[in-house]
Amino acid sequence: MRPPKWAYFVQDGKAQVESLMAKVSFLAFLLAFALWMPVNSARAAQVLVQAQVCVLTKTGCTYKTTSLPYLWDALHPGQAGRAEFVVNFTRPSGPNLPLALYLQRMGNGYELKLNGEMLALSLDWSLANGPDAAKAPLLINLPAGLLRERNELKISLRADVARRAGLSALHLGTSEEVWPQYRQDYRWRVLGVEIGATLTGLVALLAWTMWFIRPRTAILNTPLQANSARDPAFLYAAVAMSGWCIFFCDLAIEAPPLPWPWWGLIVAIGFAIAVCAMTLFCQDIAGLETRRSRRLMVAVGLAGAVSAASTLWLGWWAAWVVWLGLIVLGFTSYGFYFAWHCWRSPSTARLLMALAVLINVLGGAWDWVTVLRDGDLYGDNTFGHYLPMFYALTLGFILVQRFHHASLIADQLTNSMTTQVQAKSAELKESYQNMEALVREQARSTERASILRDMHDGVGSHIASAIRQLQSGKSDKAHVLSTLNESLDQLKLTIDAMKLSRGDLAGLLADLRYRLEPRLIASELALIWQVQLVPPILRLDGEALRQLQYVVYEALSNVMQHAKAHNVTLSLEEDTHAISLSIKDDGRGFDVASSGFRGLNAMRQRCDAVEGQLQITSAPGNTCLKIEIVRLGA
Amino acid sequence: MSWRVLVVDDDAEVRDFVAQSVAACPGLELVACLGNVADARDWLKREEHLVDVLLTDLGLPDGSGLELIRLASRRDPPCEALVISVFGDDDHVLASIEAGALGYLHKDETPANIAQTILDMKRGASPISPMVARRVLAKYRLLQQPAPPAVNHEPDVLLTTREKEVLELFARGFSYAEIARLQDLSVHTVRSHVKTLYTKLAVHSKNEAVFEATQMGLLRPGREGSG
Repeated sequence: MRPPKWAYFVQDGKAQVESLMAKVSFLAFLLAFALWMPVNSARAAQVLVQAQVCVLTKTGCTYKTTSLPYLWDALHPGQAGRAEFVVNFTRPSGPNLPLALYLQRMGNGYELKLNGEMLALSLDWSLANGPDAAKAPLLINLPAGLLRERNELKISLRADVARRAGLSALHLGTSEEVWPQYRQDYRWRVLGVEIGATLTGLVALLAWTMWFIRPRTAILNTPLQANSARDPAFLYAAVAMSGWCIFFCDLAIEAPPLPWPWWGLIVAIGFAIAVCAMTLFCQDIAGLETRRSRRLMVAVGLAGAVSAASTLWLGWWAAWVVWLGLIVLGFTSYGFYFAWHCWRSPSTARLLMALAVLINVLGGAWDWVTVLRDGDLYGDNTFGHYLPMFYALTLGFILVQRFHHASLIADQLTNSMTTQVQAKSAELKESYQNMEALVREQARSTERASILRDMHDGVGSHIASAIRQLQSGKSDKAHVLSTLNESLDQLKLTIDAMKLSRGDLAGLLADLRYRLEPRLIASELALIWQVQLVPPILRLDGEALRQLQYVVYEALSNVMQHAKAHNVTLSLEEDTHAISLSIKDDGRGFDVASSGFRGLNAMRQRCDAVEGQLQITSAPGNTCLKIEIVRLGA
Repeated sequence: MSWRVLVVDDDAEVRDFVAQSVAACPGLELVACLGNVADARDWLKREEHLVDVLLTDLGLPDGSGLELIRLASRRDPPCEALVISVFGDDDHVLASIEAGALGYLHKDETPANIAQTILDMKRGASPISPMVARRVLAKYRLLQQPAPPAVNHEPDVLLTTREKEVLELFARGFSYAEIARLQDLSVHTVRSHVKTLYTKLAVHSKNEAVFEATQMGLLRPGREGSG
């Protein structure tokens, strides 16, 4: 069975202790986060929540009383427009000190007048779909010289569709009173967002890099497969972090690079794919990822993009809200399921991821509480914005861990491949040596076999016949002696042939003559020696030379024993393409066609074995045995 | 006068056969028959023992006949050596020649042939076979190539053209008479060429051995080694 993808995170042996420790720290972190959350609350000096508002829409303008915060998207869903707010306040009693006004939100564009005097305005405030001034909290000083007993603040707002336009409650007080609130809000919204954008951007970059440079997955066993596959976890992480990064950037950038509805769509898509890719990453970590979950997530992401577009262009406020609601519900349940699954079969990476998911769920829940409590429907100060940072940290850690592990496995793979290659080459060398030894052994045994055959046919048979002659008691001493002499000659010839250098035909004949000289003299046969110095025929090895030696020996023996010749001529001549060896005698001759000629077949066979041509002609007084050996390019 | 012959062979049958062949020849006188290296060494070292020819086997029970051949060739007057061999087999014969032997005897020769070979050798004619001729040629070819520079060898150590031609004819199986006819020489001259060749080879081998031993620091110059 193929091991699940996460298998290498759970390393056997000490895995149990590790998972226990991981579980304990998991619970500790979760508890710490839960305890820290409620600390975040603010107190204002004086909060102005009463206002007169005049909304400039197609239907005209009438002032009516309203309470702040004024959330444009909730009151005028899917519409763009202008609004004018009038807020009255009395100067606090006491010395005539300059006052400050702190606003969480005023936008998308604004113009603020105190008692008819222009105090602040945002860039291109009246330009529809222009810059969004509501990204950061505002602190506006109200100079003492302008303040009266009763004061009137007049605020003109520009609102774009689904861009969180509106006016928050006005916090009024001395600088000292208002400043801490403003600072906390500023940190939370601006610095926090900048850190978040940087962090997610870095992790995204890391994940993309890893995905590009790490083509092999650690869990794949064979290097061939590994080359064709990248680890999808790196891709999911890269996509998710890129999405979160866009999301954070939107929180920070007042003047986005695209006009509003388009930029809004980009941000919505970024959010959607971030959520979907996070889910797939979780699935991958948990070892649950399937083709179905991938398809589902693609569908959810597309639905998000479509609903965002519907809201932005068609003003279908509900589309995005419904999608978002479903996402919140769906992913909260999935978060619990994921955490439960990770708790059941834990590993460091899984528990870390579960922790991040649960923190998100918890943070989200707390956000609902604060939104309901403070009426901060736009969630400017919610955790929701910053929770992805936990994801970024967790993902960064898991990716580095996984990358490290994959590298280790790749190293091991390389090492084991090197070892295998070395082993293989050693094996190859050995088998080559074995083969060589085998070939040598075969050559030796072939040679041995042929020597043994020669001994058997030559020395052996002669000694055997000598023994028979002695046993029969009929043969005379001279006969036995000649048989034994012949066998010794055979033995000497066999040894001589083994010592000849390759293809040395002249040497072969010389040795033969030397050994047979006494018998030639005894048989009163004159030997005429016509041996030329021919170059060696390299294709004739030791065995071939022995074959030829046997043929010549047999021929000479026949002449000595049967031919009754006076002269025998032995010649070795070189032709253009062949070397011919001939034995001629002036004896009585014989009938070549009859099979009576002793050993003729054996001679033919031996000549065939060395690819020599044997020709025999015989007439009384002129018998010739000729062996022709073609050089074959030697 | 007759030549005094010493026979050394561990095979009593062969020894007796050779001894009888020697004793039966009027020109030869058997002076001793020994069976091992130690006895023969002692015998040869006593100066009162006079000997002209050493017939020795190579494979003796307590050592090699080569030692006896070297010992014999250093006697004054030198004792010429022949090796007793079954096959006239070239490796052993060549080693013997390098040690100072002037030829070889076959164990299966007739007694008359054995005596004749000894007498021929004393008259300046050494036996040769095509196998030995080939080996001697090969040896000279080998010696000619690297020509050791510092050895005090005479230039005539190496073969003359005539000697080389004679050797090559032997290697191709020609007989003394045929060679004499082909080379326009007397048979006697051809025969004496062989002995000269053997002597040269022995001298050269000794020079080479001394040179090499000196180079290796085994010998101090001016003192002759026995190895």
